[in-house]
Amino acid sequence: MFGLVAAVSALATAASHAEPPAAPTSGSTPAATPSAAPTKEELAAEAAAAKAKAREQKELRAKYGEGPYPGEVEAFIASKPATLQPFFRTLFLGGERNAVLNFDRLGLAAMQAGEWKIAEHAFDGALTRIEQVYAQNTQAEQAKSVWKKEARKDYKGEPYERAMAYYYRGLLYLRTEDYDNARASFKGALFQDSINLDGDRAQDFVLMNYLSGWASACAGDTSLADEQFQIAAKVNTNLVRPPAGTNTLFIAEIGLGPVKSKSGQNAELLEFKSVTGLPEAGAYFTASGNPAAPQIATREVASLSYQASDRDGRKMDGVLKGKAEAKAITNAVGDQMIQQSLLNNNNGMGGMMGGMLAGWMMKGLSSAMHADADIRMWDTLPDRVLLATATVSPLPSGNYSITFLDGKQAQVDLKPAALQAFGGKRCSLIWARSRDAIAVDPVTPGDDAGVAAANARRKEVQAKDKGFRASLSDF
Amino acid sequence: MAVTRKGVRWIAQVFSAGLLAATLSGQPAGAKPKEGVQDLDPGQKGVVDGVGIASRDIASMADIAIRDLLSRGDIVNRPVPPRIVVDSEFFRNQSSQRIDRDMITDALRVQLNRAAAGRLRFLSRESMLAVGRERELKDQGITDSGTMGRRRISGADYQFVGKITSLDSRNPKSGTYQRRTQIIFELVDLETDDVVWTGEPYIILRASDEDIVNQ
Repeated sequence: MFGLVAAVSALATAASHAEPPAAPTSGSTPAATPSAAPTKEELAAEAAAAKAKAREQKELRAKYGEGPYPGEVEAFIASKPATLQPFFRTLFLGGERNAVLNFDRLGLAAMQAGEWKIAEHAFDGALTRIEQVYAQNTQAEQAKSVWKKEARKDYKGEPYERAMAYYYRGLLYLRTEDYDNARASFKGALFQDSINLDGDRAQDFVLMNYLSGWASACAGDTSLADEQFQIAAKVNTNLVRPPAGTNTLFIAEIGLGPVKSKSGQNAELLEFKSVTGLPEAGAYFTASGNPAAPQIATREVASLSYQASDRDGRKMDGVLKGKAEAKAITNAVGDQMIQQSLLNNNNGMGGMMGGMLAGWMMKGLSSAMHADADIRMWDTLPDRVLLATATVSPLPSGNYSITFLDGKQAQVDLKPAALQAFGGKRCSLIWARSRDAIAVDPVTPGDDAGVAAANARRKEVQAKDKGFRASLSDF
Repeated sequence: MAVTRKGVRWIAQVFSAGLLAATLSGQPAGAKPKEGVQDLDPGQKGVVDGVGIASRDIASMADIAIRDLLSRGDIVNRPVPPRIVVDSEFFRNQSSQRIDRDMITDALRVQLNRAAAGRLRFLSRESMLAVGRERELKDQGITDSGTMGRRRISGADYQFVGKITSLDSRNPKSGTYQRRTQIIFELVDLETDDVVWTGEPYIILRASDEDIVNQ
């Protein structure tokens, strides 16, 4: 009996669960129900929307591959500071191939704008890639191919450009008083300086030794500081060890860095040209709001034009030379074959046509070969770095102004593009630039549009760049 | 026109079947990068390599240091567990690798805390600001004294200290570069300045060949 009652009760419960929930009656409160079940119309609308979205994605993928799709770029840059948005756009669109260069340019522009977190993030992005060891990299293999241009490779920059990425990251570490990592950054710059130097030649970008010493002195590592200051002073007498108690470093970056160009019969030679005609050749700092304050004179301690050209030749130059020779020889052989077929009448019309065809094929092969040097460049770098030190009390150092001087020590009517004070408890840094790193063409300088377009069509590049864009979401 | 050996090599390549095939396909030989996100074992070699401290080194060096320290009965088997501070303040990076030192000291503290199972007590000097703020609220009577009553802030017996140093070298002919990284951990008595324990130096020696396109 009890079993029958239980069975009937269970059936009744099951039936009640199977029933649709009762519609709320007038005056009742539907608070207990989580949400009303969607109506047929709503379900149909949802399905239609999902279908439309899938169709849109399919169309976008057909048109743009893995992207970026219209709207994605705008959505990415919308939350970024207005002054830096053009650089973010270039970074987003440029993908992995130009990532280091675009990070470098963004980082420096962000430093000028005082957007420190963005600057740190950008230079970290650049240095991570510079330090990455490339093995079996498709783009690197392509850069060596006689059929592809060097610009196919992922940009890491020439040694002076890589060293400067470490330099700026080091300054940013000095700003946050992370002296250990500042020193590591300046050491990283020195390591890059050792690329393409013959064994018997020493590193000569001794500004980095000096800054490594400065970071050590700020950290209280006196013996390490002494060692680095000594190395710097040995090569550059302008880099003398600062007196004990010195706590403020003044850095002025003047002029514009070397410009890359290609020369040679087949554009295979990479050349660096100094930017001339700019008036500033020196600078001094003065404490703001105190006309009686003494001038803090700076000394030139580094020239990037010198650092760019003071190399023993890139390994890649040999590859490009080989490509250029292959291109020239193939073209010359083609010319010879055409000439011979025209001069030699023994083989009749058929022989002549065959010889000419073979000659034109050789010339076609020659024109398909690419020996061009890669001239992508960090265009916002300065040409020269000037430096001074002082003892300021109390720290952090206050505001300073900078005056630029020409070659005859006369004042130049030029306002600083950047003038930032990085205050600290132990050391301070005043950093200034004569030339703007923001008001420049945001497009990747020196990039080969044809290479960029061809690269972007490759499926594996699209997949890699999709991952790259996803990684930018933490900016 | 003078022709170098490299030029001859390129000519040979032009007419080699491999390159012609590559021309036709537009795809040079070489491994294709894997797509998408990969889950990796943090204790194993990663897919992106450099010559410095890698993910697997952090786990490995912490593990070695902990085993070594826990084998020291005079430190870990006392009736009253000694109090230790493990933070990055005195863990110095003098190497040429930028690194977040907290990654190493946090791994060390967490693993050591778990492995010590109460035989060592760890103090968080990084939390002194939070502790001070809460004690001030209690002092002012704004809050009650909590469920365990007022107590004194613990004094430390030992401080974990350490140092990362490195030596970089490069072969200018081959482009191969090498880095020796050395990590040392020590335990310093905060009363006497005695170094009561020194772990075996953790040494990493790695070399790498950069592709010539980047040399």
